Amino acid sequence: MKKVKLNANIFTLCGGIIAGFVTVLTVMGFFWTPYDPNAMDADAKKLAPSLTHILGTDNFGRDIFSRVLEGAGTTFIIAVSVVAIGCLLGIIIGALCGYYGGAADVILTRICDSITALPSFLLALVIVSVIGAGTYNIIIALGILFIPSFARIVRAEFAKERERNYIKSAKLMGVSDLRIMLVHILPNTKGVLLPAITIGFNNAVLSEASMSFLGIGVQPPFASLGAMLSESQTYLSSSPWYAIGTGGMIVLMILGFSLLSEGLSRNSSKI
Amino acid sequence: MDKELLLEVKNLSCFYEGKRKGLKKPERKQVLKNVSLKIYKDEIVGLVGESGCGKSTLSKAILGLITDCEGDVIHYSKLPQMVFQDPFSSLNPEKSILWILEEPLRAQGVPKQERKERALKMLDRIGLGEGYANRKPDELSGGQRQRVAIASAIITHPKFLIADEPVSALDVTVQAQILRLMKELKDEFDLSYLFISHDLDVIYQICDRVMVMRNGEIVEENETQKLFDDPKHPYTKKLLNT
Repeated sequence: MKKVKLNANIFTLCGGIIAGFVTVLTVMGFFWTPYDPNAMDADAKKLAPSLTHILGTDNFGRDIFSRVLEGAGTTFIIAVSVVAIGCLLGIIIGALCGYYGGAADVILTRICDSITALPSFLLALVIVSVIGAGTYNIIIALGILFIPSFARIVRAEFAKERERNYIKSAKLMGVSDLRIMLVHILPNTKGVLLPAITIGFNNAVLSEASMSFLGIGVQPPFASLGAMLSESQTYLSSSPWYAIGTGGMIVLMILGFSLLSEGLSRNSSKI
Repeated sequence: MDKELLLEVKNLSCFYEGKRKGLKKPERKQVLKNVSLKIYKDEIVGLVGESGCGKSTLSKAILGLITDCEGDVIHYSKLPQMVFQDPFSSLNPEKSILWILEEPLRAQGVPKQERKERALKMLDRIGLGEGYANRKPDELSGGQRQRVAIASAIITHPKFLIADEPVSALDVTVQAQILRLMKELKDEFDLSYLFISHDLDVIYQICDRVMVMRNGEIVEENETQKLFDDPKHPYTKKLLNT
């Protein structure tokens, strides 16, 4: 028992520190970067990391650290929006399906299942090719694709809780259905919802990075971690710090939040 | 006999859907057969029978928690409440005891200040005291949880309460305490109970009148003392002998 608790704390602690560090860097990037991320300097092309340019400069002489900060900001906003859309709509759909059941539940569950059955990346490609590339469009495309995973876990929790006696009591007391769903049941789903949100955030970061890497996400000259990684591969041999700096940021982001998610889910399953 | 009628059940039949076998339509199993009963003000009516005989189905049907029913259930009192057997799933695990006690009042639009006062008073009445107000259900024992469940059921002053095996998950000393509390609360709050149990000892301790149920039918009904002294139906005799 004691060991489990210790492990969970280490996961949450390390994850929290890394995720917090990444978040602070990202938020800082919104307000201040050492250099203008888009300012080119013909005299400072492909400089190796130094005290003036911590992560070096790229092929246009732009400061990589500044661009990583800005790119992380873009990726962060996209990931948060995607998770927000997926989580919110997923909760609404899952809650209604799980609580009321019936034919609508069966139909919506099947739709969610069929969306999950297809490779999500392929579906994102299809949606983007229909509505076009660009920052807002990949938020919409990924957001839609993230709905089923949230809807499924929320539905399962609601269907389980609905049968419990405290819900029957609440009904007998004359509490409204909406209040039962939001105030009585929803807080009881946080044990599975919080880890799902952090995992979802990771997946969103990765999806954005891969889509931008393939050139169907964020369009140049805007920086996003995926777009920068895609640029950097051309100069992998001549200026490897470009790929390392950008990739390192993605790794930190993912690592921090997956550790956090691992810690959270261990904490909740412990009880 | 000029007692106020609280509940009348007329010719109630209830059905459950059986398991689906292959593509065949699931069988419709009849759980209650033509049950009729009346419950008056100020009485504790026991419902006894083996597990699976339809006792819990009857209670759920009375409260409208089962929809596949035929016959009439007429309530002459507002918002009848229920206390369940399992004290672990009858309280919301995420909420504090005070919140749980306040929620029925909140649903009726009682103002905040009065709500808190009444909840704290109730907490005190059931012997838990203010120290428990901010605890979560998982910090309480089974008996304490059942006290809270009873309190939150009666805090809005309903006239009629169904108690479905309220003490059978508890050990014997705690059972006696809960039964005593229920008796006291009955007088203080002007309550009537439909008290469901498989345990004749418990029924004998608390009930004024007993109904014996077997396979979805009420086979015998009498005042508690008379039923225990002079059982008529062979099934009742068998129950009393075991």
